[in-house]
Amino acid sequence: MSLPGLPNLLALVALVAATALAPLGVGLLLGVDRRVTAAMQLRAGPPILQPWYDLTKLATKTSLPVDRLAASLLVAHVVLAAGAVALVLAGGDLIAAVLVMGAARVLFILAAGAVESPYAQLGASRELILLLISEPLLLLVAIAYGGVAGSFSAAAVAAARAPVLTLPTLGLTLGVLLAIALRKSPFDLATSHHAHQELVKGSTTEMAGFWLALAEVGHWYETAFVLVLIALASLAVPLVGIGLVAATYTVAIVADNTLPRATWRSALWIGWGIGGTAAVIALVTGRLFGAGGA
Amino acid sequence: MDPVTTAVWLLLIAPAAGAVILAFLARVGRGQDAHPATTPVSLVTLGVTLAALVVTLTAGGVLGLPGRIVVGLGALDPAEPLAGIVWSAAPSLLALLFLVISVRARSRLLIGLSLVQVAVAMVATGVETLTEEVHGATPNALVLDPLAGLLLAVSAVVGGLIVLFALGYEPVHLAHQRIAPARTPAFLAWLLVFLSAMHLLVLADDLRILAVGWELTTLCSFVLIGFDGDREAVVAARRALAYNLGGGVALGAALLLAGPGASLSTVIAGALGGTADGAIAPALLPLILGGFVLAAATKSALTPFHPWLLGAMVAAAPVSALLHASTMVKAGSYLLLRLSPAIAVEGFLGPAVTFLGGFAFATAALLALREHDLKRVLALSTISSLGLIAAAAGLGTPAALAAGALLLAFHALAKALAFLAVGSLEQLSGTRDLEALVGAARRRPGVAGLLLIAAGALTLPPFGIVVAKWALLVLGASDLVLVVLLAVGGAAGLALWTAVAMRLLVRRVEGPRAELSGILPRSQGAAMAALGVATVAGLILAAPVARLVADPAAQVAFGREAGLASGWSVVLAGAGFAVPAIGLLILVAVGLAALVARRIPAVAPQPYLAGANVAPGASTAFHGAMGQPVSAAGAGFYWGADGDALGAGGRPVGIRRWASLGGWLGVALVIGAALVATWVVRAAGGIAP
Repeated sequence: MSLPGLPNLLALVALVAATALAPLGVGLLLGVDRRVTAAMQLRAGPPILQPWYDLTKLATKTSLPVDRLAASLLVAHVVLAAGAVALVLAGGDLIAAVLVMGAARVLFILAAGAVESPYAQLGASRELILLLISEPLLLLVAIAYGGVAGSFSAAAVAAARAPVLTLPTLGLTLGVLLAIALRKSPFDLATSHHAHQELVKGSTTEMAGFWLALAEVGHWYETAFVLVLIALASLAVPLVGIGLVAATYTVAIVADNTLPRATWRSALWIGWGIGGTAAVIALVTGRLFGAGGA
Repeated sequence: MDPVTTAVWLLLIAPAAGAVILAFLARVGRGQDAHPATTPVSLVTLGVTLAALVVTLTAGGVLGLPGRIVVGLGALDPAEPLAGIVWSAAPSLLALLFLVISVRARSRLLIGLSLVQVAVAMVATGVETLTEEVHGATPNALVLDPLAGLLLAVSAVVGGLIVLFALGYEPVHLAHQRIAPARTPAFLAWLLVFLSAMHLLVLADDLRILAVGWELTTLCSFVLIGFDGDREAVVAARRALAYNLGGGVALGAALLLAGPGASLSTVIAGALGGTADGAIAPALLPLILGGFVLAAATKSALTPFHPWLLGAMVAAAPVSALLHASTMVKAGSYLLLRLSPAIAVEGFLGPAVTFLGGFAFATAALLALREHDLKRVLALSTISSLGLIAAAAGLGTPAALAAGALLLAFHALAKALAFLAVGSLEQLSGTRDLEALVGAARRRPGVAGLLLIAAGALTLPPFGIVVAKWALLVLGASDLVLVVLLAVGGAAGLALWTAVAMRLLVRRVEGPRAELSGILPRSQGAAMAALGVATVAGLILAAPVARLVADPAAQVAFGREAGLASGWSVVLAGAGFAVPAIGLLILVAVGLAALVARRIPAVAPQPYLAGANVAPGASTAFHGAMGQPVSAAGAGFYWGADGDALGAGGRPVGIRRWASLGGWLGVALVIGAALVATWVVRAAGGIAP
């Protein structure tokens, strides 16, 4: 075996750096999100860096884990979530990355449900429903990309000429996925920034301090994963890619502000109904106009 | 005789011989306890079987090589005149036996079905004995190749461990059922007969021998489901018999159409257009294959034939683990994988099989989300996995076949482990209700932890099962319907096992919970530990097993490389599962988690109850509206369980009705595809069969 060459080493450093920075970027984006939402509701809103302030404050608080198992599951959750993002950034197999992200989310659900507390239990159940809604959509998105690019590797999808043009309806699916990743609507579901009800943050009720910060970082990685998937639709033209992310995000914010009273059942039917149908239409159009199957 | 022939003979005879001795012990045993010779006889039988398996696989040259060895049966070979008549008559005799059972059961449905089967089998026997041997010139009674080797390994190793488990489990179980533990040897004898039958089935190339193995497994299943003899067991056994008799009729019809002396290899060769001697009329081939597919679908309990498997769960844990999860139901999967190259070329038949399997994969997993009887969860999850294997067979490419073979092997390990763990939990606690077993993993980590390992192996990367699922998603990407079914079914399976794991892991400090103390018999623990180690090894062994067995099996079937083993070892960049990278990731995650767990101070938990806690500490009691203490113990999430939009109750409403309808649509597609393919051949050839 030969030692890895310098370019390989550089690529590895770049990969680690990008993976480490990804959640920070998401934190910034969430800060902007809160300002935009506040503006829509005629409020001033917090500073843009507020999510970072929250995170650092949480991380430096006294560590009071309620349960050993839950705490160690959270650690594994963050490692796997970061790994899934790294797998995509490294140009690896998209379907494998989706499966790894699914495993990461399973660990979070188990951490949330490990303690017998009514809020945590209910929150974990709701997280389970979100997993059920979003996992098939993520797989369909990966397959649609693969159909256009002729390969399921993220590198091939990024290099493909215009996935965004051959898969017009996939944006809807990605919008649904982003809304789920952000945990905004519906009101009935696991976690959100609306500070109205204890139920809303159910899954993290029994987490505190450093461990809550870990859960937050894992959540940011999950959001970063979806954002990277959106950007993949047009990475050949970076400006369009950034525009797509911004447009999808805006749609998600508007949807969040118009659907506050939806329940988890309606979330399921909206998710599978709209997101799933859009993904299937994208698969068909990708087959018809795309560059050939994988 | 050469060592391979001897070893193959031993694989067939040793379990049956052990069964005869055990049956004798059951007869001569006095008193309440099992005959003292039961354990030594069983262990010697298992040892001989295992040794025979090792010799078969190593000396046979089927490991890592696309080898195919014809094993003669000597004087018993169907090519011999007298033995031929015996083998021809055997399916008829078994059908008559089923008729006797049906008459004694006084069930019109059973009598009708077995009468049809007797008629079909009798005609086949008559045709076979009256006509001269057409293509039995070369004796090819038994054929050993990588796929058969894989099935033999699954049956002998997993089956052997389950028999070991049963040695400790069954006396306790029988005592609990108010039956004398002296019946244990009889129970073990039936398990061993089943192993012999299964070995015969997977080695058989001659269709008559295949039919004998097939019907013998049906017989063993019927007897073992009804072994406890209570009303519930008898009803379930009859239901299983009814479905399997239906499948037997389909198999009999296929045999009849194939004609005397036909073998699996002549059917496949005929479909691929390889033989010039016109052994089987080409127009009949799609119908023959359709019959095989329907027989396999009933054996594998694919929707809409799944009810018998759910009923079969009343049987003892070793029966469920051996027959209804890891081995007998795999006979259907095996037949589909074996015929995969032939199915793929018969026009629309391949996609029809893929739909039938993919649909079972998705609906069974969704149906399982509402169950909290752990055995029903496991049964539905099994149906789901069997559907996935059928879908792989329907895709009909070398890599898909290799992925299906891999799924079959790893699923057998994980599901056998899961069934034995659930059986042990039930033995300790007297219940298998998930809601009563809340927190079991905290109190009996040894037993419930094994169930968690099995759950992880079924759903998490980079275990072999998930790798095979990934491979099927990649390979089936051009089939839109399959892709949607795979995506939904995969997510439902993930959610299902997460829900189960969550309930087992909850730290419950008060509220109802089952008693879990007690000691398990040593053989029971040893069998489960061995299966647990083998299941975890599935993390590492996916690629080697693919290289040793799955890829060669595909090469034997298709004559070209599958390349599945190399397909997922690509590191990180590019397409491929990147097993090393993902494996490293999992190792880092688990290692860090373990490190953290040791350093975390033990903090007394106090659940958040909106500030209304009755007492400090872990109690979940809070002050109610009238100041009275209320317990806030939670319950799991069972989608569609009570009056949900997706249907509830015993009648097939909601999703259950859709499951049934979709399953029958799949069956109709298979029949339609076979008929259309026949019509196309006849229209093209213009020759009547």
